[in-house]
Amino acid sequence: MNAAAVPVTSHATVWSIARYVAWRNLKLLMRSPALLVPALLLPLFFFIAFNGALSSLTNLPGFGSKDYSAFQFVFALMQSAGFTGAMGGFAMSEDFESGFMDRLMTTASARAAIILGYVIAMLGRFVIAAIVLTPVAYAFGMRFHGNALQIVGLYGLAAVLNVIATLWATGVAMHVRSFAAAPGMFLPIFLLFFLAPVFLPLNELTGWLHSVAVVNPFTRFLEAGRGFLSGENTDVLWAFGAGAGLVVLTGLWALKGVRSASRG
Amino acid sequence: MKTSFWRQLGLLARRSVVRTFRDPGSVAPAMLVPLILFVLVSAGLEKATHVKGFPTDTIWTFTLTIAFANGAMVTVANTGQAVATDIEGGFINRLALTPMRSFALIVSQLAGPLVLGVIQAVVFLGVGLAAGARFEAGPLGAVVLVLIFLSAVLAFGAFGIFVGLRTGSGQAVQSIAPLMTVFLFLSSVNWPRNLITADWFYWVATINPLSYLVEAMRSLLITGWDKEAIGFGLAFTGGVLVIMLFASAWQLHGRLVRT
Repeated sequence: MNAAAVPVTSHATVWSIARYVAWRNLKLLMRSPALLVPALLLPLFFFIAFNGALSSLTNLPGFGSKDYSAFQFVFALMQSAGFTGAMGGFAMSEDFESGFMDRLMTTASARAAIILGYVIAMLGRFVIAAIVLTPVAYAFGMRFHGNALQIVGLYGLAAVLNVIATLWATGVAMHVRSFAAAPGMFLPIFLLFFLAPVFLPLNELTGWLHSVAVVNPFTRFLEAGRGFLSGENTDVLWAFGAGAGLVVLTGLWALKGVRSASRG
Repeated sequence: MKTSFWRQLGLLARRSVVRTFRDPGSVAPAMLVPLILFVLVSAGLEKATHVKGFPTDTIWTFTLTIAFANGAMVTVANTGQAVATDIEGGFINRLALTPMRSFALIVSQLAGPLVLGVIQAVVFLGVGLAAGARFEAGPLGAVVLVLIFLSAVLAFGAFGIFVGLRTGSGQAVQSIAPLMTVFLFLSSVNWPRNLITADWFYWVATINPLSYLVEAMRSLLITGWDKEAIGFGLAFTGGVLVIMLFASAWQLHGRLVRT
């Protein structure tokens, strides 16, 4: 093999591949805005539905806060982050089925950069979703009681969750390389969300759900997020610690997927 | 050689059934997602029965309809994905070269989800009764609930076919299908309408036809034989089925003309 044929994997190469993949995905979103529907409308409607139907739950003794809108907004924001990430896996599966991903895998010298591209694109989609979701929640009565740093913490936590979900879903897509894997990308995230204190605070949950919610890392995201919104620092280290751990684990899963896809 | 409508229907329906059960991606979500929602919402709302005026002491009796309503809605993804795959794989284009009748192609796509629906109903009932749900209308009420559920499976299946034909994209179908669950939560599925305190949500739940599907099924569990509730539920599913079958036929016609 002569020197010119050896693939060069520099930071510039990684960045140019990631940038190309990210830009292509964002362009696809502009061409087909319906792709944002699950990440935006699903959490939005869940927020509206839970907020509207269940607000009288705040009358239960032991609920604590009377602001059910804020309580549900954090869940909606985190959901939006998670579902946008899952959509990264959907997009990658479609690219595999159309043959685009095979061509990309053949030409890209740094294949892990493809994952990075999807992560950037899905973060971009999440930002759009959050920009829409927040004012709507505000219109429905949600109020920020935290300081600027706490608000940054809330959205930062959601962004970490978005990265985790994208790494998970693209890892599944890399392993299966078919749209048939879509439930495998979405369901674990969905399940993780609903095994947490969704309708009532953690202390109001009973039985097995309480036991599961206590060890569910997503519970820490919710508790910290709700704390940030109400101006208190609750479980912050736990939440960011769990986030960092999950980024590492799902990152390894995605890289394993890249190796699996490279072998064909 | 011209094949009769019924022969075409039979062959395509058999294909739909085989295809549905061959794909774990169709069966698993249809069975698991509704059960997961049922269990999670019930566990999450267990203390809701302490709210004054709640219609039952057992949350499982109240929430069993979540499994049935959501189970019917999963059909949108299944039929939509099947049609989108047929379009992406060129199956529809190849059929266009044969004397196949459009209506046979559309109606036959409902066969797989209908058979799956029967299995879903048995499982949901079993889990619900084991968890503690009870029927005020007795065993016959359970049979009527299953019939309402199967009519909903057909209605939502037809809607999925329309979405698949309209978009022709698996990603688009998978994006739209979860929204169905959202519309379900914008109904009275989580909370009795008479106990909703937010006026705007009471209004949303009242104009959302899914409330009437949910209340038709729930009436058999909580009230007994409420003919008006059952009638509204069946009118909703029947109406959606007819409209979506015609809309799908129109979409298929347009797609074949483009081809």
